[in-house]
Amino acid sequence: MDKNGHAGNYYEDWQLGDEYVSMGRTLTTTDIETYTNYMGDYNPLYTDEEFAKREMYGTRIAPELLIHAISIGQVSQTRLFEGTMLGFVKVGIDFVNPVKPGDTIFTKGKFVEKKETVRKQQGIVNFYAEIMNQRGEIIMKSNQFIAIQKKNV
Amino acid sequence: MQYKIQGKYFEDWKVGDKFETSRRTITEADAVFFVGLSGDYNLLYTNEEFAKRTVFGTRIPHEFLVYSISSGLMNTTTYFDGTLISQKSHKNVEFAETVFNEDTIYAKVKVLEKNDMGKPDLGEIVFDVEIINQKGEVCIKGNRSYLIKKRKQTG
Repeated sequence: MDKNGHAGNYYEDWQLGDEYVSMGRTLTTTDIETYTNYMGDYNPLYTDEEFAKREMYGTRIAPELLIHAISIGQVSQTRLFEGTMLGFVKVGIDFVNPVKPGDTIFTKGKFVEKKETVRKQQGIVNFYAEIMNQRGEIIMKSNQFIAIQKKNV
Repeated sequence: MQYKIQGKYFEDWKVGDKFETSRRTITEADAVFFVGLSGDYNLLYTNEEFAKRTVFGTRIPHEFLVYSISSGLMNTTTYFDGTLISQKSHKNVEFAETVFNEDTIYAKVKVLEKNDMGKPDLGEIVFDVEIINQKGEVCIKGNRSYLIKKRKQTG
């Protein structure tokens, strides 16, 4: 932990080969309800069990962006970005498999590359991340370009 | 009388089709909610003393709160009601301008591509989505690909 009480890696600290793995989180119908209510996203695939039973997955599934949000939280909880993360710059996400209530997901990520920007106090770091479920299936793949604080600025 | 699926089927969309969603003001309550639900307690979103010293000058609503709200706004158009199978991908999503607390945003959407995929029950539609604030600035832009039901189903 540095003098500001931050645990996160600075831009200079990230090296090729650095990886992280998060804790798991079990997805609940409460998560789905809370998300769909707040986002106003009442698609019956997420909110209507009778409808969803007759559809492709046989039950309500989690909205994809809810899963992505949970994944971001899992990464944050590794504390590797605490106090040094200065915002998302660019992101690409592929959703591969759905998450059903009761599934447990975790995120693993890998540092890919870093690059300088016009702002002297930060640089951009590219991470590749995958979300996996308890059966070892890939749920989501993403590339995230994130602005990271530099040291001693 | 029974609920009738309102969403547009794959066949109903044409490349070049455009629509705009309604507008929503991003509030501090939304921002705090999203931190709690996602579990992303990063200081940029939660610690005003920290955030004051960044280029933003203050806490900002989570970028993915804004992005998720835009997805919700797209779904309240009812164009995807009962016909969206899943979101397949979000590509080249760029966070061009910051959305701040109390900004009002909407999504401007255009159909870029239709891919039949050779399947009887679904096809892929790629949308260009711009999230625009009350000043007319494009804050977030990118493509998103949805798997949409086909009306004519064989088998």
